[in-house]
Amino acid sequence: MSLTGCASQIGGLAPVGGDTRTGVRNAVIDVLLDKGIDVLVAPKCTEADTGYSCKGSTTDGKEIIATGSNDDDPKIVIVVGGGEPIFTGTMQGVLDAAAQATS
Amino acid sequence: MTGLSRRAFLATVAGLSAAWAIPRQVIGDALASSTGPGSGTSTLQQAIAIGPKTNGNYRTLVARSGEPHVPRADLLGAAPAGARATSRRSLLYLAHVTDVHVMDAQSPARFEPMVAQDHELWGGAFRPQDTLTTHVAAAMVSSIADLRVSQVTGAPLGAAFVTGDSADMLSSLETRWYIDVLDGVPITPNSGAVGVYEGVQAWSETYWAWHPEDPSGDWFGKYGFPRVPGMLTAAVSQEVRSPGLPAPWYSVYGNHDTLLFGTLATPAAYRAFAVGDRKYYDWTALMGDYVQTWRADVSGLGRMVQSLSTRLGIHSGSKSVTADPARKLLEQQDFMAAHFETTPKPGPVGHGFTQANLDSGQTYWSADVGPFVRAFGLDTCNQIAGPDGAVPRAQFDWLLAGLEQAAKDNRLALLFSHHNSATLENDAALATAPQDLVHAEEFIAGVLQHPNAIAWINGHTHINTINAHARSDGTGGLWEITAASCIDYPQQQQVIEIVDNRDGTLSLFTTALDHASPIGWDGDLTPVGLASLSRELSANDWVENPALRIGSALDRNCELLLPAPFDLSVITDAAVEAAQAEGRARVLAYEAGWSAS
Repeated sequence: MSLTGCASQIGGLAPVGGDTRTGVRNAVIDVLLDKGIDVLVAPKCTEADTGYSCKGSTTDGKEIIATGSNDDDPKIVIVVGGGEPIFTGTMQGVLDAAAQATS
Repeated sequence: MTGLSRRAFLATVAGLSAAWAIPRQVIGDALASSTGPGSGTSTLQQAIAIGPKTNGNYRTLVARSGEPHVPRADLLGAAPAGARATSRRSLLYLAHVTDVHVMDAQSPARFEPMVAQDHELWGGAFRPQDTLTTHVAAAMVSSIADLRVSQVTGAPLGAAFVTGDSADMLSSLETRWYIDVLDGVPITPNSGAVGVYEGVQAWSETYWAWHPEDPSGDWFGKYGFPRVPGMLTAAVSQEVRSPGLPAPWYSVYGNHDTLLFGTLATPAAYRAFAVGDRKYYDWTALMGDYVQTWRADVSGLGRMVQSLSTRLGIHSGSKSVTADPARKLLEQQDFMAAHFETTPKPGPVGHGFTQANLDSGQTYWSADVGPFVRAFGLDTCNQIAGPDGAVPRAQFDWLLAGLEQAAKDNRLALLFSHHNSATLENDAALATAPQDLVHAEEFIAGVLQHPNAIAWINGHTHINTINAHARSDGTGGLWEITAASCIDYPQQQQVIEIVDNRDGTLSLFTTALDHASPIGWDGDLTPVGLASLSRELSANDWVENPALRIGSALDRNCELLLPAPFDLSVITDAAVEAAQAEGRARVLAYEAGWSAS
């Protein structure tokens, strides 16, 4: 028996779950909501060799741009409506803060 | 019930009384009373957080404040109208269950030792909470039962949908347990020797597994996992009772209901392991014998080697356990067939699958759920190899034709599948039998041509995720709603309610559900206590990323808005009230134990 399209099947044994791109997306969203920013279009993220790039928009028409470095725990930078970043930090730091008790 | 005339009201009461064997007075009083939001506890009122470290790296869980619904207007293009909450009406309130992964942890067919080869790659083969899956499932059913009346509109629960990976290891016993738990049939989650746990969590060789009696010598003990004496015996010796779902429930295949470990084909010779008397503790022996079963499948020499090994008792790397024929592995159609062995209530018999499915072998279905919604239960599983999926062309064509018909029938459409848009790229096929498979981009583009398809509800990744797929012409789109799982943290499922805002928009309210067990485990080894322990154990998975699986705040409790796909005034208030009256009568019958209906 020969199989086609099976090159990734060993890799597919890995526990089903999210990848880093999902983590970057979730972290970006949690930062935005934590800062009281009204999101109209939730950021969608893509992955490239250089890292992660996310785009979305706010209810008052501002563009949301976020980037994540090409690391296992990406450094995230978020800019809303141009200008200075509103956030710089690590993906896992944001995810942990969202999942864990604050005190 | 302002939409019904007095005559219609009396006729409704009489009809429901006869149908559900409930006294007219009871029905009449229930229907005449105002329908305020339901009671019960969801994550709207209370949520769970991972607490501080209590032993080494091990953390327990704590309560935190609930999360209100966050409006999402991705598909509206503008913030929603504030007045929409004043006159809305519910079209369907449903529960979504997915990735329950009911396990017979003592099955000899399991792949637990593989975590020693590569814990990250094989993490799904063993989890410390593997013996506690039915306890979690029962607690989750309790949670859904508590919320049988919507906390948003007061509407009764109309249906529940199960989107696959209901069993974990293609086991007929696991499939039976999951069906029984959802039906409210008591089970004792044991196999082999009665009241005795025989498995990897009790053997000295298995340094890679959590040993609740004494974890000092295993990986988990080093992490800080607790000692819980008596847990394994409690897990397999107590009867697990669930209240059963209070509404009809429907099911689709997941990859774990299709392939061994959700990934691998099942050689015929391997099926003998499942009902045999040897269980592995060493991964090299397990893999060697698994490969040997493939050789036995394809060659006479292989079959001879397999037979000799068995007769000579060459079983290194394994221990003797009590054999149990009930552990037999499923054939492909057995999963469907099992859904016909079910209680008549809540039903339906077949749970989406019909006799036509059994006769033809078609593993997907459609069903009207109430008068306004048509559900399409898809099979996205690859039957050759690999955990991810795709949609065979014939099924995709069937779906698109079905969506077109649903639109003509003025039906909103909901799609249910195991896989989601991130996991539809599996091309595995036999070289001798290539398949025409539809992947995510084409699937979404095709479904978007049908505006009455308002949501695609799925699972597989064990992560709460909600994605908006917009039509390029700005006329709305499709909400894709992925729930977490019952096996990995946060062990959450969800309820979803379709609401007509009467302003040309619809809202889909998604609410994450924690299972009904104490947030902080207090040492209790009853079934509900074991469910609580399971959630705590799952929060300490250092290989995976529990914090990732909870999703973002836009993936849990949300109000998902979109333009109504057609003029919803064709759905009269009388029709809505009649449908809800039916649902409320069903809830009354459920609360009476289905005994008279």
